[in-house]
Amino acid sequence: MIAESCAEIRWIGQIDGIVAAVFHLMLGRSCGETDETAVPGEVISAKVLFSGAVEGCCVVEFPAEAARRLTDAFLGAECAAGVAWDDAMVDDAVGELCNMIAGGWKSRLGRQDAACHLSPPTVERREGLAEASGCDGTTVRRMYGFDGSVFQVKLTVR
Amino acid sequence: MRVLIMDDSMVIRKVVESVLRVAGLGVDEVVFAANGLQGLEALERASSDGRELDLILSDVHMPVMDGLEFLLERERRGIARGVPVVMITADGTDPQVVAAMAAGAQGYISKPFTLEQIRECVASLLLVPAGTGAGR
Repeated sequence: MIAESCAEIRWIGQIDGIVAAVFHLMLGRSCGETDETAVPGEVISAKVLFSGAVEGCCVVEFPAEAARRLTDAFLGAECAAGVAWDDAMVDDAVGELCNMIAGGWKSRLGRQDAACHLSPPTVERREGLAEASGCDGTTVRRMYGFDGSVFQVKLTVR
Repeated sequence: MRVLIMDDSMVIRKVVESVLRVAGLGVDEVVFAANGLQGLEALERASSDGRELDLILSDVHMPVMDGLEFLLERERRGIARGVPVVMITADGTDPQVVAAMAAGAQGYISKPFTLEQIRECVASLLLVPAGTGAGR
């Protein structure tokens, strides 16, 4: 139990750092952990599975408006003003963010654990944030905020 | 400079194009492909038009034909062999990246990347003075 708690604390630090780095480097935005909760409504959820030396998954969940802002941020101000992104573009942005967070987390594992495979991100739409990741194991859930929007990241490792 | 960007993510294709254009590397034209097969078709078109590409930036994992298969098939077909290929990956520890380097890729860039990383990598491969906007 103690080992599990230590692992969770370590993961939280890693995830916070990775999420902040992705937003800073790729999007030029600051992003940090928040106590805010997402408004109910449609959520775009992306999942990357870990298999091999490490089993589990990384899930990111964006309320629709937050996902639109993420897409704005990815594609830059010159494209974003007044643009209504189609669903495929928004899903793509959320999937890529999940991919980068999962890849960033894997890159911080020790050499032995890093011998795991990442699946391509799968994206789905549904109503509301989910508590469970859909994978077996210990899950860490974190809410993050950027540009007045919030989203959730879940990391599950067995 | 003419660049081929291969990635199944439209968002990443646009982000990479945007970074290349502001990096001062003298990019005149960008060609997009969503997978390795489309990339090969783009190389063949460029070759037949006499408008050879100068650089290829490729995702590792793509449907239809991935980045490694693209490199092997490019070699097999003998097209654009001298054009440097840089892999772009979210997983820098992926064995596929090592395999791609062995198959002819000249470098790789991990996502998230910075403008500086792209600029330095491309400039070193093409001997472009970074920030001058000069072409090869």
